[in-house]
Amino acid sequence: MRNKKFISISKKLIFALGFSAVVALFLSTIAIFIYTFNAEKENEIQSLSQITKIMGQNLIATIEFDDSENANNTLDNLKLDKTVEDAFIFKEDKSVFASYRYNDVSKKLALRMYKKNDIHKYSEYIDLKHIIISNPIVFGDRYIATLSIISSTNKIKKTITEQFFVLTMVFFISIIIVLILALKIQKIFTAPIFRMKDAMLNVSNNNYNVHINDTRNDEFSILFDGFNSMIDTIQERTAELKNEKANIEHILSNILLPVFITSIKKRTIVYSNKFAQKLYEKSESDILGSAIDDIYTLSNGPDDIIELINKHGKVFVYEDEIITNTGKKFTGLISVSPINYNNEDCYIGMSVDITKQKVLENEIREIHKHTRESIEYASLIQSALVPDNDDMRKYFKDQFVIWHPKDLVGGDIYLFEELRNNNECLLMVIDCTGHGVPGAFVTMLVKAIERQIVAKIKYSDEIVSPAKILSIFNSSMRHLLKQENKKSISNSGFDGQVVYYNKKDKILKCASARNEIFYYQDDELKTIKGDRHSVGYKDSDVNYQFTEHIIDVSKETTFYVSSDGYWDQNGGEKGLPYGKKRLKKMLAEIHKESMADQQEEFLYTFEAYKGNHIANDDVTVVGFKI
Amino acid sequence: MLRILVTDDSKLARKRIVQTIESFNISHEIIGQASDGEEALLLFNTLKPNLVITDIEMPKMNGVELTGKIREIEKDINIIVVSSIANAQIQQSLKADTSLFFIKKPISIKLLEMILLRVERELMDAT
Repeated sequence: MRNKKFISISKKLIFALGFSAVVALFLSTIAIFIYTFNAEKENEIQSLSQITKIMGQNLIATIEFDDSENANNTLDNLKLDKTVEDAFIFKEDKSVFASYRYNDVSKKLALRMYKKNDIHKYSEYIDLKHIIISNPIVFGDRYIATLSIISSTNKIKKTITEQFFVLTMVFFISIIIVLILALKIQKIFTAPIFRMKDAMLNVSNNNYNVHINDTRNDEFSILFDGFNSMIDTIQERTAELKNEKANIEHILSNILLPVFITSIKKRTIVYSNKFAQKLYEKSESDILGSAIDDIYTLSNGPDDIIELINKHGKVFVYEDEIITNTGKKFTGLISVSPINYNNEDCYIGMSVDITKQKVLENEIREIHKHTRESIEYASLIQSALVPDNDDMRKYFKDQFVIWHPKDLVGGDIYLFEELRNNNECLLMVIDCTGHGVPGAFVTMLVKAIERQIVAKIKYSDEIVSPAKILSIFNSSMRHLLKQENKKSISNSGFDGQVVYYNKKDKILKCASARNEIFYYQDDELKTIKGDRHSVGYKDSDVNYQFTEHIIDVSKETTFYVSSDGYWDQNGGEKGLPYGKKRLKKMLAEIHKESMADQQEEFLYTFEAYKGNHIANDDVTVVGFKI
Repeated sequence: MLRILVTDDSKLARKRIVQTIESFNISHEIIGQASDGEEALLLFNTLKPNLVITDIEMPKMNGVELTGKIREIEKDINIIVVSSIANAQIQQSLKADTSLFFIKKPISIKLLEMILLRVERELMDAT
C-alpha cells in the first residue's frame, strides 16, 4: 500500500527539465542584466571621466587667469550631453569658481563627495540617480582646482529597461521552447519505463506471457533483456512447479499408506489421503486444518520425534504406540520427511500400523530364542564328542587340531580313541552331510557307530583295519538311516579319513572316503588319495571295499588329515576356492615348524584368504607328528 | 597401563599377538611370554601381570588348567583365552567367569582391541 500520491515520472521529468531550464534561464537573464548594467555604468563613467579630463585641461589657463566667465562658458558646452545635469569648478577651499547650471542640490552632492574623498584626487560617486566624476586640475605639478561633473543615470536606466524587456521576452520564449522540448525529450526516457511498467503490471496480474521487444542500444536494452530472461525463467519454473505438483499429487494418490502433509509454518494438516482418514477414523474435512495432536498422540510423547526432526530434518521409521483421538491404540511406524507442497514448506508423514507384525516379531523372537538355545545346547552336546587332545599327546610327538564348525554346530567331527594296551589309537576326521544342525545330527550317529566299533575292537584281538571300519560305517549308516531303500527320503552319510596307529609296532594304517591324507617324510610331500566312494549314502555300495594304506612311520613323519572345508573355502581376489595346490605349497613352507606354529599358520592363512567371504563349510584339520 | 603375559605354545602365535597389541593405541607392556601353562604360571607369580592371554591347547598345562590356577592366586585378574577348537563345553565352563574373555582363533583384531580397551578402562576405574 502506498501512502504517497502517485505522480507520473513523465510529469516529474517534465517538471525537472522545465525547472532546470527556468532556473538556468533566470540566472542567465540576471547575469546578463547585471553585466549590461555594469557595462553601461562603466561606459558612462568612462565617458564622463574623459570629458572631465579634457575639459579640465582646457580650463587650466582660464582658471590661472581667474577668468570665471570663460570658465562658465566652457562649462556650458556640457549641454551637448543631455545626461549632464550640472558641473562645478571648485577651488581648493571648496568655493565655486565656475558652474554649469549651479543647482544647490548638485552642489551639495559634489561637496558631500569631498567629505569622503580628497579634493586633490580623482574620485567617482555613483548612486541610483547620479554619477559624479571629480577630476583635479593640475598645472604642472601644482593643483589649481577640481572639476566635478554631475550626470544623471537616466541613460543607464533607459538602456537597462530596454535590456530588461528584451531579456524577459527571450526568457519566456525560451521557457516555452524548453517545455516543448522537455515534453519531447522525456518521452525518450519514459517510454521504455512505461513499457516496463506495463509489462510488470501484467506479471503482477499473473500474466507471464509478456515480453518486451525493443531494439534499443542503451541500458534499457539490458533491462529489457533481463526482464525477458526473468519472464522465461519464471515461465519455466512455473511449468516445473506445475509438473512437480502434478507428480506429487500423483504419487500421493498412489501411496497405499496413511499420509498426512503438515504445514511447517501453520502447523496444521494440509493434506490427508483416504488411508489416513480410514486409520484415524476422521473425514477429510475434519482433518484438514487440524493439528496432528488433534488426530493422534504418541504414548512416549512428541519430544523424541521432534528432537529427531530438529537434529536430522527428518525421521526414518520411528516406532511408538499411537493413540488416536477416537480412542484406538496401535503400534505404529512413523516416517517424516520435508516436502514442498503447494509452494509451502511442509512435512509429509506416513504411518503404518504394525501391531500384528510386532506380535509376530515377538513370536519369532521367542522361537528364535528357543531355537538358539536349543542349538547352543546342541553345541554343548556336540562338543562332548570332541576328544581330549591330551590323549592324543600320548601317542603323537606333536599335534594340532583345528575344529571350526561353520555354525554353532556342524557336520565335521574328529574322533580319537585309545584302543588296546596304550599302544593303539584311532583317529578319524569325519565330514558328515551338510553342516549346521542336520550335519550335527549325523555326527551323533557317527559317534554312536564309532563307539560300537571301538568297543568291539577293545574287547577282541582283531587286527584293526581302517578300511573295514569305513565299511562298517557304510553299512551301519545306511541301515540306521533306512537308506538301504533307494526310495528313502533321507540321504545322509559322510566323507572322511580313518587312521590307525600302533606306536609300539610303529604301524600306521589309513583309509579314506574321498578326502586325501597328506604327509611329509624325508622332506617330501606324499598324498594318499581317498577312495572315490562316500560312506553311508543311499548310492553307496554296501559291499564296497575301501582301500587300506600302510605307511612306514619308522622315520619322523608329519600327517595332515583334513575335511575339505579348508581347501574348498572361497576367497582371494577372484573369490575362488583355496585349493589343494595352495595347501601343498603352504605345507612345503611350514612342515618343519612346530605343530603349534603350523596350526597358527593354517589359521592365519585361512582367515587371510577368506577375507570378507562367508565361511563355506565346517573346517577340521588335524596335524600330528610321529 | 596393561601389563600383559602372553602364553601360547606357538611362537608364531605369540609374535602375532604381540604385534597386534602393539598396533593398538593402548598403553601396555608385554612383560612376558610363555610357551606352556607351567611356564606361564611361573611367570605369573614373578611378573605380576594384570592381563593374561593364553591358548587352551598347550603341552604340560593347558589353558583351562592355567586359568584355574591363576584364579586361585588372583580372583579378578582379566584373562583372555584363545582356542582353535570351538569347544562349546569349554566355553560354557568358562562363561561364569566374568573377568574371562573367549576368542576363537584366528584372533579377530577388532575383538581383541575391544577387550583390551575394556580391560584398560576397568583398571583405570579401579585405580
